[in-house]
Amino acid sequence: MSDSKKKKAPNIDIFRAWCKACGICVAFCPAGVLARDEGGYPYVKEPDKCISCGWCEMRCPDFAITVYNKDKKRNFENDYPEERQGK
Amino acid sequence: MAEVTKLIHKYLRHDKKFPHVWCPGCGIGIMLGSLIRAIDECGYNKDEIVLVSGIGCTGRMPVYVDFNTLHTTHGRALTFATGIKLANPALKVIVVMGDGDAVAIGGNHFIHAARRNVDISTVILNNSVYGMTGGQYSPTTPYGMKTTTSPYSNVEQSFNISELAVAAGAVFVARGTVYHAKMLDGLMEMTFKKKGFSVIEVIGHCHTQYGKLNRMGSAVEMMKWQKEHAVTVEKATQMKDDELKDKFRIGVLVDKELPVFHEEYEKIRRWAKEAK
Repeated sequence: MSDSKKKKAPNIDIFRAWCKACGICVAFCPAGVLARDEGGYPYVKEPDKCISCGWCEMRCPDFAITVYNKDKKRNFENDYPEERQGK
Repeated sequence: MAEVTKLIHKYLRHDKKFPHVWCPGCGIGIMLGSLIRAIDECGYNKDEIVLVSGIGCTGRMPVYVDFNTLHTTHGRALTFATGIKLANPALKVIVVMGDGDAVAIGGNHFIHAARRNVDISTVILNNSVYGMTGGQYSPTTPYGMKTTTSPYSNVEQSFNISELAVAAGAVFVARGTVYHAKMLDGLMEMTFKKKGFSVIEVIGHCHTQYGKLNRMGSAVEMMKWQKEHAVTVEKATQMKDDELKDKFRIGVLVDKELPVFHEEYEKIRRWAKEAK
């Protein structure tokens, strides 16, 4: 249950206090996850579409957006069987 | 990807006023992120780095980062940096300048620092205009473009900063754009690792002054312009001259080895002492 809840939660954190609503993250998102509200500020419209590429984070001039990994189970270490993780 | 923001926050001075002073969508913010990532990738300590800047939009950068920083007079950043490097060669000296700072007011310092091959990494943000002082035309404003001091059109030809640096004898010259942020990380890292006078020209945008008068649109539109007009060095070799007419090359333009100023100076100093 807890896993399915995690997946649904948006994994993009927008820090509104630092955001200046320039629209760069929205314009260059390759998956169309973000959209702009009436004030021009970005919000996460379709969190499921996020491919965790991180381009919004790279190009944000104000360091106001953070992308957390969609699914923690997809981390590099967990891709390996348990006996190989130590190596 | 969350590490990227975490890493940037590690190097910021959180007692300063945030969000920073630059306009919404300004490329300097993207360049600052790239600079921090590159420094982290090179593995320098905060105390090993000296970040020197002059005046202008780009000159505000050292305010926000937690290195040894110096905010100097207009165009004279390289002279201060030369002094720092000679006084303490163990430090890694990085100079950030705008286009007006580097090649107009500080033009002479720039070419002679390159000629002497002082061990300084220079980051120049080229946004084709004097942004902070009100949008006057700079030596890099292209011919025929409008600015507040050339309201009909600019009648002067522009400087090509990278080619100027190559001609002046810089050992490493690269060019990147703020649109190609990941590529910029790599180029910055190579610039910082290089021993000698290394230059990276970053094509940025000033949509508030330059873009508005020339109807180039918002920051997003100007970044799309960068995407369309940038050609990598590898690709440019296969293209014809008329195809390259309104384009600029990005990537490593020059990479060579020459004796470094402070080491040569030290050698001569020792030799003179022994001869006595």
